[in-house]
Amino acid sequence: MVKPNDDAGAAYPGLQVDLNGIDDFVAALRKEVEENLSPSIDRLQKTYEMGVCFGPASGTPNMNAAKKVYDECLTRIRALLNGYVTAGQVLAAAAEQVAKQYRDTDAMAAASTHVVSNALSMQIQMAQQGASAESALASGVDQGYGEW
Amino acid sequence: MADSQSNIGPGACYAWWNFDLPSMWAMLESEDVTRASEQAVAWNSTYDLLSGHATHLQSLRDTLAERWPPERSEASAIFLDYLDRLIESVHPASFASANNATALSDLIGTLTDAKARVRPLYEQWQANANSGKPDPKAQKMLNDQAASIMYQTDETVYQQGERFVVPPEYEPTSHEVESTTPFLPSTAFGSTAVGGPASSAIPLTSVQAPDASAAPSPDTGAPILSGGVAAPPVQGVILPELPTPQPSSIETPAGAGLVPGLVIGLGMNNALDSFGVGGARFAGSGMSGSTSGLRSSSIGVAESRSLGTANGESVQRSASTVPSGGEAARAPGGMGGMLGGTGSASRRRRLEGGEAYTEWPVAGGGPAVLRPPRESDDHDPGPGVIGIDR
Repeated sequence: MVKPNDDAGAAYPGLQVDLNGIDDFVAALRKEVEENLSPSIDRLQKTYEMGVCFGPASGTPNMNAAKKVYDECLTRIRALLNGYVTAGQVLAAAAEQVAKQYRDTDAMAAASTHVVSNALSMQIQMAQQGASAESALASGVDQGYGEW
Repeated sequence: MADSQSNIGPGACYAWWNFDLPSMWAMLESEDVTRASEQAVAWNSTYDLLSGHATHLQSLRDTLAERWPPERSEASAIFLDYLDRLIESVHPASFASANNATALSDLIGTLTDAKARVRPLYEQWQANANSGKPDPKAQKMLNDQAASIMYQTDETVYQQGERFVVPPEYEPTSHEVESTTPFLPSTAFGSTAVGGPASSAIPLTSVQAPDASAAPSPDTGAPILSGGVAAPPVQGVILPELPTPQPSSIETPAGAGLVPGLVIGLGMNNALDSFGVGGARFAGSGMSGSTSGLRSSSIGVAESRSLGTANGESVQRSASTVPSGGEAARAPGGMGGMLGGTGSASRRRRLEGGEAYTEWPVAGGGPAVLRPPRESDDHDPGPGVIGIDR
């Protein structure tokens, strides 16, 4: 664990990080996403997939306007729910990566902002690639987000 | 009657009186209340889920911030910023979900109510039609009643449709390292401990030219350092044009000399650093480990800190320090010499590895009255020394 003593911490505050704190964060976030968020969202998505649920035979402009807005709501909430799962996974993976670099490499290097930026960028990119692959295949093959 | 009722809803028109009752009933009959109710429940569940998720994320964020304090680590600050943006996105989505649950429930209620009111009219209409001797007058009366109900329903649907809230979009993006952060040793240490890609961002907008109206009139010919003269006022910040290097020295009977107007002891890049832009750039760019980089950073520190702490004063100083042509261009020479430190120009040129002295072409002048740098109220003794408790 990279946690210098008080004197050193005062002199080099950039190095002060409790790696156990990051580990705990990763574990708690993963638990939240995998055990709470993701299963609930799966159920909700099935309901939202039914689409607009009113005015199927009504073609009045007023009804059409309401249906159009509601359809946008459904589309957006479905994307958001998936996005929140992905974002949680990205955060957990990035935090894990940062903690790993703190342990494996020079602690001063790990303290760099670029490490976090790169970790987030990489995880987002992986998530987007995974989503694209899933979308392209659309066959239920588990592309997932790999090691998340 | 149908013509007089053609405008029935805000932003729309529909002539219900042109329909017969079976047609109106067909529109309502297909309403699937069960399915719609499921979605209303789903919206409510989404609200519960997301509000709980936001609370959980906030709790995790606070705990992480305690153990990886962002004020002591830029890396932590960037990570927590990503997390904050996620939390900020979840909140409005949960509120929109709660809103949509209510709006959908109300809309379903409206349609259910209309269905219940039109159904008996339709049954009467059917009975009349199948009686063997239909009564057109009775049918028209039933039609009118149904049309009135549909008119009210349609208008209500429009109003309830307006209550739907499309949740705001969330696009997770990686956080770019911002280079405009004022240099602070506590944060810069972490960010510059190892060499990273140099950032090209220069906070041009952080410096403003002083009020031109306050400048003394030009052409008096008084020396700059006497506090008397300024070149014509300019708008905005004038920066030297880097891509056009010019001879920095001239031959004189006594040997090589510096072209008038140049800064003694500072190369072009270092000069930029010394004027406050390099300090901020350094904070995000990483320390390359070269002698040049180190020296640049030490110059940049003082300037960028002044930008961050004494804005009004530093604005005037930065603007007046940037050469602005004419006589004003000579002003930085004195100041730059002080900032640039000691040592011979030739030695510095060797360290810089190239010819860096260039006369700065500028678009115009500005008030160039030089004032001594304002002394900071805070005294920073620098990092602690082992064994000495500050």
